[in-house]
Amino acid sequence: MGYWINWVTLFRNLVTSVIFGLVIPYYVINYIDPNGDLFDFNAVLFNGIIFVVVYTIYGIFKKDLVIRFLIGIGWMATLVYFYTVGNNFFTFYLPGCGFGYSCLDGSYRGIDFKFGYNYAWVIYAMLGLKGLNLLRHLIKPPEQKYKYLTISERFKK
Amino acid sequence: MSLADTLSKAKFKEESKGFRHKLSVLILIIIVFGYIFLFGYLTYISASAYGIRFEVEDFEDSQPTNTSIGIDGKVIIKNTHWYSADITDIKIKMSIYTDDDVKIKSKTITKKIIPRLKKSEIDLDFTFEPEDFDSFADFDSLNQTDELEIKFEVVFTYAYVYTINFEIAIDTELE
Repeated sequence: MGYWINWVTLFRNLVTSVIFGLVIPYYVINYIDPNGDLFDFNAVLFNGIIFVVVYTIYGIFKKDLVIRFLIGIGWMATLVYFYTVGNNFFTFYLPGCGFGYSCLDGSYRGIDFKFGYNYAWVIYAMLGLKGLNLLRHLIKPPEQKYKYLTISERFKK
Repeated sequence: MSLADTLSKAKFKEESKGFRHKLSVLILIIIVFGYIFLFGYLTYISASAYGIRFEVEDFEDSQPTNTSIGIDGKVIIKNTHWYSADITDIKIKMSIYTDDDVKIKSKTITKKIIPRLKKSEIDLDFTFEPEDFDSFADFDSLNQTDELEIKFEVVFTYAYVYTINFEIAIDTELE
């Protein structure tokens, strides 16, 4: 079992996801919208917990295992979910009302207004690039990883 | 054999290592250039939208004849900065509702393009004549009501990729 688990990426992903999925949203939303008029605080935290769980699982297994690739496919599905519902780190906590579409519906100084903004092309592009990166991790020979990228290895040479 | 054992043994052939390495480098280059283009274009669009200026001129309710009612005016859009982007497929719809939320009539003004590097005008002529209505009774009810809700719906495409729409509802009391 120890052969499969990458403790470094597990710990890194756990810390990263807690910071970006829970800690930052908590402080950002309490600072911007303390009364909860604009953002759905519970939805943001709920999606933050999903982000922590999935991204931590994503980091458990070593990259040269096929199961890691399958989890990566699951990670892509989770991203599609995040982009669909909004209210999370990947849509910058925008109130979501559809895939790549954010909207506001409210009243300002007694004047009712609605605002919609379609940024779906950005999401398609990001999902495409993330999918390519996932494919790259699958096909890349494992012994090539980190050897020429880490500074410590260069110092050793 | 368990699923975990099967998956752990599923590996590429040793001979394909060189090809996979080259392919992964090619994909990495595509990804890097993709992200540079994506964030560069997003930055450009955000900056260009920030430079647009609107001016509303001569916007007032009008009654050119005894049997017409309307709102006239014009909007000047200054899209003249050198890093500006085209605004296309502009649609401005004005709808009039009575105080009990019944839609009386709506009119739509369209403009194909507000080109970059240019100052453009959109004339808003929302004058309603009796013949615009299905029946004179509708027009008469518009004249008789004490309160109106005027709803503006604006839809446009910015830089050919973003669709933006907003809607404003204004309640007015008629004298």
